[in-house]
Amino acid sequence: MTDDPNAPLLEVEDLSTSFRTDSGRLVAVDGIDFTVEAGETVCLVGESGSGKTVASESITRLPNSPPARIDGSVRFRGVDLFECSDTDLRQYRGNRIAHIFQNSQLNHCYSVGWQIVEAIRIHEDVSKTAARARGIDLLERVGIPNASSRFDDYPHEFSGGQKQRIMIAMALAGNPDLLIADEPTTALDLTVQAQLVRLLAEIQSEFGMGILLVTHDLGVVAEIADRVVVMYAGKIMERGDVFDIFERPAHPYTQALLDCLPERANASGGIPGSLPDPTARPEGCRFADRCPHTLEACRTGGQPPELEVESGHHASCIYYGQGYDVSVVCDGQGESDDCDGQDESDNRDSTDVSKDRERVSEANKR
Amino acid sequence: MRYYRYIGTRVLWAFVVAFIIVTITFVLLSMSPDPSIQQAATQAALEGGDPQEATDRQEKLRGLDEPLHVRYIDYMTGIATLEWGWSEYRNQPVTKALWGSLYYTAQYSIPWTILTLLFGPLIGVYSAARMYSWKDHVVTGIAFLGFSIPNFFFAIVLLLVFGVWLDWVPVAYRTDVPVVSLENAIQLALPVFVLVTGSIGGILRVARNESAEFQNADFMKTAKAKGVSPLRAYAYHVMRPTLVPLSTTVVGQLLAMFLGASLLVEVVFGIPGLGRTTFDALVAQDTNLVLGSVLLFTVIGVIGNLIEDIVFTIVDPRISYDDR
Ligand code: SF4
Repeated sequence: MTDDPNAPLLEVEDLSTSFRTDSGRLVAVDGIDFTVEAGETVCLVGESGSGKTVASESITRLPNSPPARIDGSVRFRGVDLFECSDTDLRQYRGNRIAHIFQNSQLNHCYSVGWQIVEAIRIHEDVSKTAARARGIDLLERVGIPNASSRFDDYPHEFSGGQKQRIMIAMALAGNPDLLIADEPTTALDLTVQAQLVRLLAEIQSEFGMGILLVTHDLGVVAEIADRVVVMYAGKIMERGDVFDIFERPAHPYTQALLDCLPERANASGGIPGSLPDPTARPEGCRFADRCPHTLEACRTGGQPPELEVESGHHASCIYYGQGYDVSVVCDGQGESDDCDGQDESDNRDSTDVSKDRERVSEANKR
Repeated sequence: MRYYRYIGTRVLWAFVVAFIIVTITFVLLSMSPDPSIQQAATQAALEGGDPQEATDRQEKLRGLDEPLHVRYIDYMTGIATLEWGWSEYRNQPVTKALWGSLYYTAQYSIPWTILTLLFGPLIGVYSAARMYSWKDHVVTGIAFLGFSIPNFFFAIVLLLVFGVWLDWVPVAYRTDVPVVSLENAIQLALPVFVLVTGSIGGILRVARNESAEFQNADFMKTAKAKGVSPLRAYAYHVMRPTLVPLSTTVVGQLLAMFLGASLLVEVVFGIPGLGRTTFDALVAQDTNLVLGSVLLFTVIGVIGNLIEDIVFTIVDPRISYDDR
């Protein structure tokens, strides 16, 4: 239980999560590694069904097991959370590691104040009045107007964006070192999304916590990420610095994702094809069926190893190995007819990230 | 504020409902022949008098010659001032007879209600938490059994086993033991047990099914991520929303049992309670006492529904008081 303040904040190693289902074992996360350092924001990106949500929830072992089976190791400040007993793990949940979910999942039968006070008093031995005062402060901090008079209101009396702010306040109750936010802005309108992203960034600079943000929204990624991890069908496809990923996406999957950004094309449909069946993963590269560059070699063996594209930038694609012509995938960005009915031929230039950032910050001002 | 206005309207409604039911009984009563008049007429005819004259005399005596509205007002004031008439059969005022029976009914009804309300939701939620395990199967099996065995039959079997064969409990109910005494607890154990097994099944089933839904709800993930222990998560986050649908079925279930099964149980165990009194009054054609029982059951039903409404508003914050 004693953790080492010099150890990395979060090290995920060979994390696998599978579920027992009627149609066999569903492997949602299939052996992934990543790290999050204090004060940095790592974005876990992928389509829905890529396993990113399950991966983020497996860090604190949230999926009920059975049916879930979670393997690998998750070290938080050097402590292996998977070796901890349930009781010990609860000391981390909501205290050192906080979660925010999509659609603010509050209990409709209790006032928001009650739920915040609960979060505080589970981990700290403070009086109800002290917890209440702290809770009101937290609500004020996340921008709920008239926090003290609204403290005893019920979730249904708040808007979607406000409920998500309340979730953030609740997550801050334990002064977490790591905040895991799963699609925190999805299903909210654009203005509110931008406000929430800004709030998260502010809170991060104020509290200095590490953030693992799970999202499919590359606009949000461009706004807030330091590093990006791209997931597809339970595996990591590419990882790197946010600028590298946006400027020089190396993996055909990442390229396809970026091509589907609304600003870059009149794309509506997303990437054609669908994810491979999670109960029976195919041989070879998981993206092979949808990849425009597929070779024979892509369909044998396992997922290609993560090969270095440049320093600190890796992609799991055979083209980055020895004996392949990298320019096929690197320069081949003219072949971006991945997205339906789109004819985008200009290469991505370095201003793209800044464009995305501008877009989001404009939305912020609105 | 809105909340108190809502409760106020509900209470008012309860009075209106009671008023309507009482009026209906009056109408039914004024349309049916009074046995005492027929008796007087027969008596007169047998003694060689004038039956018509005897009828008139009797009607006058009972105030039946008054116009309908005067009788209605008399009747209503009588009910409001708790003058519910004289019970021929019990040879005492109706209110007194009812009060006396209520005393015995309450002795088993109160523990029965408390036990049902306590264990129904608890076992139901527990069962849902262990859904499809052998524990869950045992619990639902027992609940189903208790629900489906006719109460009076179950009561007879239990009385045979524990009263006659094992001789652990007295076969005949004794009214001379003090309320708070071991003897009383022993003699009430079987009726309470029979009624609890009968009523708990339905409540348990609702609690189990509803909480099965809530234990997988999104807010349970939030609770877990907050570091809430499983026990606390069930006790607070699952139990509370489960009480909402439960509050709408519990009162109905208990009232139905109270009106139906408790009579049979009283007859089997020989408890001189409300059900028994009503039954005897019916057999003896004691109109005033039957009427009094009907009124008492009405009052209990109306109060029960009022409590249900109030509890519902307390447990579910989402209901709006405006459009109800
Ligand atoms: S390994 Fe082959 S199939 Fe997979 S992304 Fe690279 S080129 Fe496409």
